[in-house]
Amino acid sequence: MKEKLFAEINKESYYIHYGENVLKIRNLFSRKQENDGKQDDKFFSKYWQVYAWAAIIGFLKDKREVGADLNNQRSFEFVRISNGSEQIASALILMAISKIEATTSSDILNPRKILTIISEYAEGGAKHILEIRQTPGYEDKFNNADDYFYEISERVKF
Amino acid sequence: MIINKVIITNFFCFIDENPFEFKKGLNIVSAPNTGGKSQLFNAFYWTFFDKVYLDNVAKGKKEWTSNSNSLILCPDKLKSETKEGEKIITSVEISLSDEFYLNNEPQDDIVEYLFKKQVVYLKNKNDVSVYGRPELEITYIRDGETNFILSHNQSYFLEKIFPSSIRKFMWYQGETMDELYDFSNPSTLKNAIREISYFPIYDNMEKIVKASNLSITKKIEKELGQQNKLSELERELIRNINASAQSIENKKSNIKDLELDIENLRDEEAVIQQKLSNYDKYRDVKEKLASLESDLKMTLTQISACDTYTKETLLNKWMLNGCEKIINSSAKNLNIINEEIQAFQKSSNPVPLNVPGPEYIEQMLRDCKCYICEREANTDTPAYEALKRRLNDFEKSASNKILQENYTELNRARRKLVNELPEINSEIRSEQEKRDSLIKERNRINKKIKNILDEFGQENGSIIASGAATASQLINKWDSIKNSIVRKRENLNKTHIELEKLNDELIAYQEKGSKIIKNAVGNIVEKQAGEYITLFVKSISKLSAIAHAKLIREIQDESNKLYSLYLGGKQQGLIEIDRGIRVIDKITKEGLNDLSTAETVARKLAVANAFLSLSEKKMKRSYPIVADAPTSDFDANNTYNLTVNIGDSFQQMIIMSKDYASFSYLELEKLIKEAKISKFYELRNELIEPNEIDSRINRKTFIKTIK
Repeated sequence: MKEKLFAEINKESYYIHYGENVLKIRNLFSRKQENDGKQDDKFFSKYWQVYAWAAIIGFLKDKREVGADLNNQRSFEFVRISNGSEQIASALILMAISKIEATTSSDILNPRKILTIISEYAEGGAKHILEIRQTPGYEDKFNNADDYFYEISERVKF
Repeated sequence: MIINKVIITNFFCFIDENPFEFKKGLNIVSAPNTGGKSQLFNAFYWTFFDKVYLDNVAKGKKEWTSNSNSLILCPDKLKSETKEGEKIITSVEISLSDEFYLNNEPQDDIVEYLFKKQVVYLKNKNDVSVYGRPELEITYIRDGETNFILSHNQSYFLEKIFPSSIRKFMWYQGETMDELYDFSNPSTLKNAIREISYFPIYDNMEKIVKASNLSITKKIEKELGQQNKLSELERELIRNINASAQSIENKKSNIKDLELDIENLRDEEAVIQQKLSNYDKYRDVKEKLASLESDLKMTLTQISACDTYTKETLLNKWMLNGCEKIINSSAKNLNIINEEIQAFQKSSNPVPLNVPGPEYIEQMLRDCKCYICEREANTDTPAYEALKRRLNDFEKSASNKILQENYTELNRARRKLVNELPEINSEIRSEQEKRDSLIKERNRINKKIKNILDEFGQENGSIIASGAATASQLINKWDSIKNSIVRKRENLNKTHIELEKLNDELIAYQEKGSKIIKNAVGNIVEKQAGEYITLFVKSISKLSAIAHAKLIREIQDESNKLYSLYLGGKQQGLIEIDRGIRVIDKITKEGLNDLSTAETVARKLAVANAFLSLSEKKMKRSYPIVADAPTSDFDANNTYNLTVNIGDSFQQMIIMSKDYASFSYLELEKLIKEAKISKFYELRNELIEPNEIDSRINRKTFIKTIK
């Protein structure tokens, strides 16, 4: 690899690829890009936010759709995540790295591979969220802002 | 004036026709509380002055209410039992005897005036409304004919027979005594004096003689001028005298105007103060509400800011809560990178990489020659392979450097996240606590606002806001009036000073002038007339001052006589009328401030009655006194004394009181005899149908004639 991982992965050529489940929750919970700046009742205002959240859920619940069909490929680049939150971008990369079965550094320092791992977990996380909403009594889960706070604060109990 | 008869029909607690006959001397209407005596008083007041004294439920006290066009005065029983579409007639008839007025001047003739006031109500489905406006008819019979006083002349006529300056003394309402007349205001005394004495005549005479003085002085000057007996300087002196006299008159007129303006402004001020007492509470409440609303707004802003911060932080950091374990587990793979780095560093060629540099190695490989040892390095020879390996080292080193940088960056990121992420929970908790505290504060403020609105019986603050706005307007108006009063007073003081200077100037001119005129005038007739008039001017001023002082003494003496009568000779001090009215110690002449309520009431009653008593003596004009609850602050002893002694003070007195209800029949008999009571009525408000429920619609006032 001729460039550092972070520099490489943040190039404009590295688009995030995501599957149908992420697309569904993107439509459910995220404001459309063309409506950016307008008020509506969606919790997320950017596509990367809902993608990152789904990926984190996937990592935490260990839900990975290995080999998932990630046919939505021109929505946004990884650099959008870095620009939005450096912490979240770094965390996603590190969590993806932790999931690689590696023997050499070249197994690890592969931007496209890392992005694919993140997307597979995002797809798994999105599927998990959709399954929750199919559970009777939970059809409206994550329609309210309080649900997100509750889910996040309940992850770590003292 | 004597009130002869009153017939009250369907007026408050008086159902159907209720006649009262009154005579000269003392007439008593005794009734316990709610018996109907105050409504009898209201019957008089409504007929003559279109006002009634009623409870204001919102304020919890009684007050005068005018504009009786909208008031419903008929009894509750009729309101309830009259059928829809039927009418109720409420009326009061009062007959009184008084002097006949011809061309506004009282004659010696006595006529009987009949006042009849009537209003018609219409019964609707659930309530009663005014059908025919209240109308007053005033008639009298003279020379066998009935004459009407037309409605546009009625107020003028009422002012003639009940002059407003002493009207208050005639119609005595015990609960509103202080509202009716305020003797601390000098104009009250001045106006009352005008009505009870011939004192105003002195004012008129003073004006006339001064005008004559001015006129005669001008005539003398003219005469002297025509006779050419005066030099130019002397003529100028006389002109100065005239001019000064004219200026003095102008200043005096200004002073009178200013004094009148100040009086009017003070009256306006009193009205506003009265109105403001109803609105002041709105202002206080509005201020409290405004303060609370400001606090609420700030709290809501803080809550909103808290929510915004929470959401932003969630999206930028908090959503990583709980991920530190997984992130930390990346260390295993990062170690693989580190091991590669270490391995490369161990196997490094000891010869520094920059000797020779990669560009030289590439050149040597192209030229197939080693420039260090200057030997051939053809392809596939060991020398060539060595050069190739050296070049490879450069590439490996470069890769290793990138690897190292990656490792450093990734490891740093890992360590940072692992340190920071565990704090997320406490950050969330802390923010939540802050928000909860703000929510509590918001609820507390909302509750306070609701309590204030509930206290007013308002669902929103719009009435309070408008009440406060009205209060502010009234206060602004009050401030403006106060400023006007201050300016007028300053102006008045200034005018007094100027008047003094002009008087001094005039005296000086007149001294000079009198010598000149004396020498020049000779025997002209105007000179003699002028001397007489000068004498008149001096005398009238002196007489006026003497008469005023005498009148005040008379009022004082009469007041003290009545004061002693009312308290059975047990008064603590003497009434003194100076600029105000007070009670002073008989010996030390110091003011007494710790009088009992009965003594204070007796003092005010004595002064008020003194005015009417003197009017009778001086002007031969007698007015009846109609008093509602004059003894409400007296004990039984004082009530008895007052009753026995008051009857002789006036030609006619009608007293309505509850204080006789406690007297036994024998005590009443004794009192009637001792006080020479002419008429004694007892009123009782009782059930109409004793077997039915006790309610206002089953009650009326019954009249019993004791004497």
